[in-house]
Amino acid sequence: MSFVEVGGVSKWSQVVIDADKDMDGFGLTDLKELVAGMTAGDIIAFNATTGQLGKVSPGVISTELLTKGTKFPPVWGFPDTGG
Amino acid sequence: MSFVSTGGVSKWSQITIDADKDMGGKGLSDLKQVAAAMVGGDLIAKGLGGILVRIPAGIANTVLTSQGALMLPVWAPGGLYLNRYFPANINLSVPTATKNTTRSHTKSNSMAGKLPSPFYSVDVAEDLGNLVKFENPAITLPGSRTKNTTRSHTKTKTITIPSHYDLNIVVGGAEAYNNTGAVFTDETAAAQSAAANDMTLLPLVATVGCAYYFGHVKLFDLMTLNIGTPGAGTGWVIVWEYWNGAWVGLPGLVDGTNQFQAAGGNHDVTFTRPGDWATTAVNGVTLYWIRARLTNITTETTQPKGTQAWITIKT
Repeated sequence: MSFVEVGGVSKWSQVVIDADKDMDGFGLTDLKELVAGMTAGDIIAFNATTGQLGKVSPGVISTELLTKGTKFPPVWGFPDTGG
Repeated sequence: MSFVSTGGVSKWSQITIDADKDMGGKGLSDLKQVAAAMVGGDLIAKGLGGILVRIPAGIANTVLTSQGALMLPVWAPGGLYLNRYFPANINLSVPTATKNTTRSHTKSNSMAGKLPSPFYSVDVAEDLGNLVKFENPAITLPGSRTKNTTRSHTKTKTITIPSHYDLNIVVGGAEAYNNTGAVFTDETAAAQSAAANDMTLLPLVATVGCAYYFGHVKLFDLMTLNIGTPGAGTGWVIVWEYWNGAWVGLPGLVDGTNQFQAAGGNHDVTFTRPGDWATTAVNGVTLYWIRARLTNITTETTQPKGTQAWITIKT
């Protein structure tokens, strides 16, 4: 059983994605994006709702990345000062 | 089992990357990195150049802070605190002082003349038999009574008296000097930021004469350097100097950075503030400067890098 069913491919565009892939510790660099529609400043977090990696776009200046607890992507905001 | 069936390539390394790829919801696991040279604690973000980049971990207790749309977030002091806007710490030295107060007073109360005279008469008009009992001896009262009271007490109160304040603030200037080509690089922003390893304390290929300058607009008493990557090498000698019309050695020097080879973290360079310290222009920036100058080196196996630097002014 092969990852790609057709023979003779040599280009990524020809590879049919038909399964998850264990990279066995190898890396990918110079990668444009992991999540569709990313723009500069976006960071990546796992979204348990969608079950996929998702982007977290920048907040307004000086906001901080706040956790919303397990299962939820972090959000940009001002922390509760407790005052 | 092959990644690609026989007749074509069989290894991932043989695949030519010629297009974006929609993974169709499929996953990649055991992936070492998506950005070059990632290390533990790095975050991934979309870079300004259009590809994914790493955001190195910030120093302890900083928080990821947005720089606005289309800008990479940075690690910065957290919360709605003053030092976000004025990144200085004021260290208050409060030695204790003891104030002893002793009060002593004597109070004498003389009761003389304030009591009735000791005269009593008993007329026994009739034999009252055993109804009256005479005291034996006779009842007497003192003619005067003196009460002497002496109070003495000691009260000790410990109070705190601030003796001086230390102002700790990021350096006002930082210049890297590469003696090869005699090139200065202004790294002031790098030295003021918490971004890791953005200060090139020595060039990748260090030669005698290379130096790093730390400056401030006011006279200061010590410099604190956060080393991100300690340098390593042999025959490595760094001298610390200040300007008084010429570059001369700092008096009373204690180099906590161990010539940029101390372990990662904050290290103080302490010295006796020179009385003849003068401002001078380094790469066009006029400040009170100190510099770490390389006077000897045999090998440089690891380039030292810094993360942030502060000066302290003692009052």
